[in-house]
Amino acid sequence: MSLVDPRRLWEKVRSHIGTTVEHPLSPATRDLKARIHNPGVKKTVSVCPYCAVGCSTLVYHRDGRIIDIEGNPDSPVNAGTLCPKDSANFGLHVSPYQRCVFQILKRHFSRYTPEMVEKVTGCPKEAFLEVAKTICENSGRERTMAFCYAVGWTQHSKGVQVIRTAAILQLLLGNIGRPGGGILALRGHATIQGSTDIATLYDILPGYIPMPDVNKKHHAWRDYVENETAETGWWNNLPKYATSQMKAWYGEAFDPEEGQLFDRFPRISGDHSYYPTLLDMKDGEVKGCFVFGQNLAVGGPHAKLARDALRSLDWLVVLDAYEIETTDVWKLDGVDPGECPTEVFFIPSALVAEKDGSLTQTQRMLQWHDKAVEPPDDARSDAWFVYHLGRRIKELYKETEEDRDALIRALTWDYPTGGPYDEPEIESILKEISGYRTDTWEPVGGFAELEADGSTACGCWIYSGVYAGGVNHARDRKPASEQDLVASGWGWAWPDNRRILYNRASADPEGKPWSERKKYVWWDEEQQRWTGSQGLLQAGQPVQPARGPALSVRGHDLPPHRAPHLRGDEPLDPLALRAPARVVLRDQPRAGRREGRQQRRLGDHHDQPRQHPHHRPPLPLGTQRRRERGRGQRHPARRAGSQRRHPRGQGLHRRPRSRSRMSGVGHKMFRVSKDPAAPFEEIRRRATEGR
Amino acid sequence: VATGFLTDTTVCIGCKACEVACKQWNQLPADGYEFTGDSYDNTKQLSGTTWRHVAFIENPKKRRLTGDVDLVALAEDVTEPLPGGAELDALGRWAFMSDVCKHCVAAPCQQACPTGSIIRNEFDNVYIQPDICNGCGYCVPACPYGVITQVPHDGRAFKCTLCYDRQRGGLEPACAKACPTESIQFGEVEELKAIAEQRVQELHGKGYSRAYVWGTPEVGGTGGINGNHAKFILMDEPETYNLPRHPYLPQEKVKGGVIASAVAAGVLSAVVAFAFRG
Repeated sequence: MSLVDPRRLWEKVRSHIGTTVEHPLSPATRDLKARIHNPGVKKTVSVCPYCAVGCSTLVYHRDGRIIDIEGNPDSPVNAGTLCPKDSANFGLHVSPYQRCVFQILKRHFSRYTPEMVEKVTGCPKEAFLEVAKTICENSGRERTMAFCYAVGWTQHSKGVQVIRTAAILQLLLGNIGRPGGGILALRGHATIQGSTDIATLYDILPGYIPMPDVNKKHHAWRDYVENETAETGWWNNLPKYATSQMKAWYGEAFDPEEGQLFDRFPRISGDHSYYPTLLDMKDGEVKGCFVFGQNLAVGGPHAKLARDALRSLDWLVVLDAYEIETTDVWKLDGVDPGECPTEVFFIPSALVAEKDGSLTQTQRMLQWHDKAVEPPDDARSDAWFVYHLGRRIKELYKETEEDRDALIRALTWDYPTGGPYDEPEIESILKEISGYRTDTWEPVGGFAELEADGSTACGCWIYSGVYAGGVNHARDRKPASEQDLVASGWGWAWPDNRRILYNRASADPEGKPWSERKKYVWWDEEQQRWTGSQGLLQAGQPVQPARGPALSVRGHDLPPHRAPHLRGDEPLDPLALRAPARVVLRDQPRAGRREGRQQRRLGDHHDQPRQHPHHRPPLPLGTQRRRERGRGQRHPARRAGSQRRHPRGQGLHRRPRSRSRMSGVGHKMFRVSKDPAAPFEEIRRRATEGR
Repeated sequence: VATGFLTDTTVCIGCKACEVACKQWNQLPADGYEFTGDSYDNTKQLSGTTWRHVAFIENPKKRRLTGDVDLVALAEDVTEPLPGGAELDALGRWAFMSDVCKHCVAAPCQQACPTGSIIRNEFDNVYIQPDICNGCGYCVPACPYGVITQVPHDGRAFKCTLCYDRQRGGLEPACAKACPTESIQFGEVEELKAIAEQRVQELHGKGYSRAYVWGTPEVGGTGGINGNHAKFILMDEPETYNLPRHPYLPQEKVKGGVIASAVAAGVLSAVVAFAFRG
């Protein structure tokens, strides 16, 4: 008997070419039935809410879960039919792809597991869970928790993201606006909070008022004010604060209506932050530099660049109590002093006990310090130096008729002086910062009294009120034992001496405190008003809801956080093409720069001929791809072993360009190599040798 | 008894309620929101995850109106000469057609299926049993209408079941139930045939002389398919609606192919034998 029965085979073949054979039903097909006929399914008559027709619907559900929604055939309106809107109603109820913010966040954070934390950061899972447990156990009605961070966060390459994440976390955990909550920056620089408030940053004026910018519509005073005033939120008051600031600086010369003087006000034209300014010094575009309270030559990242930059200046003025590295750059690093073109002026300065002034700490609290003794010898306060420098400059420009000098001529610089060295009265500066009425010279009580019509002057609106009533409140010193929990009588905190910001959040939506232990402000039913500790929201202040930009998500999801740009892989987003880390370029777009400058980057300084024995070249920052490279274009495959190229490392490989251009920057560049990996070999070699 | 659809395109308003209702009942995934760029329809075509598709037939002919055109008359009747002697070199309007599996009387997909997954069920509908289908994909090219596709990440082929589960429970299919204009009608094929003929007569009486039923053994059910259980009332050439006038079973082409191969084999053998003779 043969293995294959020809008759059976023929039957089989025949069954596949015709329709004569009845195929058996599968088990699933046998048991198939409409899910709304399953046992236990209930039917509820409902109505479609999506237009004025009012189609009746039948909602089928079982165990509290909707399994189908369709038209109700009994309805005289729709007789069982539905339009596409309500046809989709079932999916609307049960869709796993809901796009509300919570669902988006839920999906977004689902990938951030403890295992992923360990993989990305190297922090052991157990340690992470312990920290997370501690944070969560200390958040809630009865307990609050604060983040106190230092420069480990501030100077981290992703510090902004880290701090923002902490802010989100504190909001989610309810640790904002309550006693013991919040995020506190404990940065290490001298009165660093105050320096930021009174604007050491290049892109803000005191009180976080935006710096005029040539790249924005800031042509005239009206343009500037109209463009920078927010439609809603507290920044809607910007005209009052900006006008008062100009009145404080220029007095009568500033016309709040037309603001002609503003035409002469300096504008920023790009990124003038720390790095670009150092690079500009090195390029000879910044000729001179005043250094107060900082030691550039050792204090910042890439100190080598800072020293090179300082040595490229024409003049350098350093104010410090002692000679520091910054004053000595002309003889550091084995530089021949005869070769250094920089003229360095060292001005001995007074220390804290030798001068009046204030310090703003992390809680935004100002504390005054009085001069105990006169500074020794030639040492003077920084304020003395700046005041007398300004006075002499004004003297020099007194006779000039040039329009370009209008700002210097108009500057109010009439602080009273006293003492053996003609020290300016620091309290008079504080009074100007706090604000006063321009007609009566009476100090204002707070920023709520500032006006945009020129009737008030105020040097920094957030500090307004520190000199209310002619009293220096920064000097308030009520002992902690004699006052309430937040010690409102010790020093003065901006704004309006509020010790806890957003303190409405210390009570629930009905106005009751979240807990007796942590109560701060609450709604008093009997008196029908808010009450509680000091520093409340002032009654009658209109609090408009601020309108933020609409949440914009592509597709269904938020972009995942990416690894630092020097990392070889991105575990959270394997498809990511670009790291978001900021790249410091040597040619930020700014006006007046000569055109056609080639891009040079910080890594260019690595092949300086002389290097300190302990010098370890920093890793290259050049990660920006060339502009002509198409977005989304993938890097070529990585190379194996030592030939492996950094996936983000394209930045340092630059196009071969003409020899004349090369000579302009000379030896300070990497040699152009046909092999894109060559610069990295170079860096690796130097790094190994340097170590 | 055989059940089927009658889709009357003359009353379809293109609302896509049938598409949505089908997706809801059968729990089919979305196909993404993609703008095709040449149509307001963004579903594009039937597929393994789209079992009803309202095709938008936009501008079936390039139209240009000249002269004094009575737009009311134009809207009411697009085929007759216009009153007032207006000249009309080509006429345009939108047409909608809710496309679906045709449920052929002799279904090519079923004949192509090697696993016995595709069956004719007790309602004489063509039904893919998903627990039998192994994803070979033979049915996909066999279908003369491009109805079936394999679903990505699953591999198996899916198509309209004519709501087999609902029919078992005495319910009409989801699309027919939802349709607000009764463009989609569900019922026994013989009844639908009568309704369709009556409707076409009615349309002819109103002057729409080009109305006809597509899906009969004469039109749209030819080539051994012997008619479809899902019929359509059309107002234009079938090609306008992206439908074939004369579909055919794939095996129709087999005979010619086999004969051609046999002849070629014979000729080649003869050539080889001649070349290596003696």
